[in-house]
Amino acid sequence: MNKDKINSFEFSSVIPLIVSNSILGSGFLYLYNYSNKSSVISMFIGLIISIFFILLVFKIFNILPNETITQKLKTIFPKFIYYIINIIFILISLSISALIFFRLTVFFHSQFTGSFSKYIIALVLLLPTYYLSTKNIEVITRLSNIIIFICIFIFLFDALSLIPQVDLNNIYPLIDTSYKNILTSSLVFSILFSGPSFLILVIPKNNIKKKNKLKKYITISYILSGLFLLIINIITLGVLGIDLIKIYTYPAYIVLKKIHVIKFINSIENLTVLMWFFILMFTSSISLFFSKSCLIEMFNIKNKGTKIIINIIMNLLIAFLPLIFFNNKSFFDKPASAIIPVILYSIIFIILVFTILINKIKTKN
Amino acid sequence: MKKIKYLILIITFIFVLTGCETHKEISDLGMVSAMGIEKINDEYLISVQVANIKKSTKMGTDNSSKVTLYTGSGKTPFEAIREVSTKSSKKLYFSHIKIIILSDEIINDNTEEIIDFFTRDNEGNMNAYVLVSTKNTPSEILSTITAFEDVPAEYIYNSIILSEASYGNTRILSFEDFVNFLIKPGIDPSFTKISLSSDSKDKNNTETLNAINLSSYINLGNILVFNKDNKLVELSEEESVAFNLINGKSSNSIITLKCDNNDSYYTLELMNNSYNIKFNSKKDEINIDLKLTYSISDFNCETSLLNNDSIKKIEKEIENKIKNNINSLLNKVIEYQSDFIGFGTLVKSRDKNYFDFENNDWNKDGLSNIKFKTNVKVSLENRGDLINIVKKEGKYE
Repeated sequence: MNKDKINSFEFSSVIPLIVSNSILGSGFLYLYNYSNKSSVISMFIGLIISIFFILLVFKIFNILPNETITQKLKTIFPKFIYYIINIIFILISLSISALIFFRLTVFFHSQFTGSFSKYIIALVLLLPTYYLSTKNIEVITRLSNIIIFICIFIFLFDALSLIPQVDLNNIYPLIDTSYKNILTSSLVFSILFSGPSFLILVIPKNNIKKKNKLKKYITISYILSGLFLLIINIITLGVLGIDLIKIYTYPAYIVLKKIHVIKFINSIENLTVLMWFFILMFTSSISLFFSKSCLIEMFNIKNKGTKIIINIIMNLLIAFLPLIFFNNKSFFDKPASAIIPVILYSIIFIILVFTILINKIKTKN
Repeated sequence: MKKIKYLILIITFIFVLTGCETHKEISDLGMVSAMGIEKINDEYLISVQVANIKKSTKMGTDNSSKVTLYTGSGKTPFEAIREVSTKSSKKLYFSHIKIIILSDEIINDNTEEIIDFFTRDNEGNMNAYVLVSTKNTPSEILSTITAFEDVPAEYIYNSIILSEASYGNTRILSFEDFVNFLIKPGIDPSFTKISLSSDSKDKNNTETLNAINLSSYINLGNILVFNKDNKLVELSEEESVAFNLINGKSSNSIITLKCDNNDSYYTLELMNNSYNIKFNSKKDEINIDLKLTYSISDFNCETSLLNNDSIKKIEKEIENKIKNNINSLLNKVIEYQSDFIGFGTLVKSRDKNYFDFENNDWNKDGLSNIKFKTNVKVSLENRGDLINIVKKEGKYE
């Protein structure tokens, strides 16, 4: 993997896909239920707060640019602590992947195939995820390059079709709830937005060709991602209204049913939802790839057969374990379910902070 | 080895995808175009108008109906729909439903049950238009054959769009808006009335379509609102038009006024409607500003249209009439204690601290404190092709 070379644009095209996934799921539910119409303000403040977390991730990215995150941890920490931290990383990225996959399976089951078994749906969705996780980072970033253009096209079509239906009375007043709720929602949003950025640490900085435009592309990616989520929020709120949003399980999907263009283009929500499908599928794959790479590097596994078995086991775990344990999925329809990824990402950030501090102490000595 | 891997992958896909256990062919589906819901003896009676696909593909002189009406009854709406399967050979498919007709008992007593049933199902079409029938039952209306359209639901759908824009005494209410108006504080729902023009027994007979004069046809309008006893009442035609003017919905409605000098009337057509409703929390005032542009469509008065004073007088008359209609409408809002225009949502969006919607009743405690100020500005844009009226024996002014 250390030999894979990717260019700056391919690298930065991964970012919008991975940062959007948590919000599209339980993130929006949390925002709407805790900050009501002030979710717009919460998101804006959250984007500003997330700059701190993003800079944290990129600080680690710049340390030991020749190494992946696992190798960096091995260099910085003593062996025992390195193993613990690496296992935490593996478990967290596997959990994130499982959570995303579970949400995707449940969404497909509830909206499209009511009487079809959830396990068969998970198996179908697992096939491309598994296939992608067997590939190297070059293939993954090239795929993200293609997906990002498809998503931009679908997003622009959706946004332009729905903007005429936005009623400003549904958005005003902007401050609709207490300042405590707004700040809590902002913090939750900032962690959900910036948290998945740790997945890019699986790519060593020196594997990126022509780094002169890297900073510019990364900045643009984050700004566009934030704008994309803010626009989705404003459109959903403006079209449906906060009261209607709170009764639906998937309000951002319901709002797509309102697309009605040139009299005959309607009921295309099942086509435009592909954007979400790509984002969630891709993030789940890259999380899986992250955990697989960490595990393989930690135990220095070189045998191809062993790598394949590890990959298969991990894929089966993320696809079927949540379905077995959370068969009654009502917890994940509650806004509070957004706290699980927040806790997981917070642990990652705490570890990254310690990594930076220990590295600084080491370089001083 | 690679080829074997790909082969296994393809075979797995074939097994999984072509299985498609729950797939349905289009010919096995009964496309529901309209639905009527009423309650008889504590049971829901649901009538569904289903496209008769087999017969509609036939060309030639087949005069049979292109739709079929099925009815089912049950303790819940879903049970009633499932009962239809005992009569229909096709599974009902609701994604293309265009019209939902509710009886007034349903609107008065059972709205939440209807909403839950329709909203919970992911196949339902929330963009279907909702109408209320007070005089005839929904099943009677849906069993009426219509001219112009093979599918009566299309006829009703197109009629309501046309009448809202051209006449202005109806309103388009989608099911989603209906749900929103029920759960949103500060606005009450309002509906378009649907009825049959007569009780003719021939309304189901296709031979009536061959007659020039239809003995029975579907009638739309006026707007129905709730009064303070939570019963549906009908607004007058002028109030219904004023309702649409305030909401900016009426793009081409007409207004008819009496001439000064003779017993004739003249009609003007609305060309442009610019509306603005502002709330001033300090003065407890809502300002309704309307800027309307009319053109003369039908003029039989002996007034000269070349005279600027005459034009100004006509504009003033229109302004007064519209103002009176709006004031009459606003009086109904206060009298019925029903904010069907949505002033409450405007107040809430402009000043959230003005009224506590969660703990107080806006209709009873809030509306009565509001003063309404109406400003109507009318301009006559177009006189048509004539500058004078046509008089007998070529006598022109």
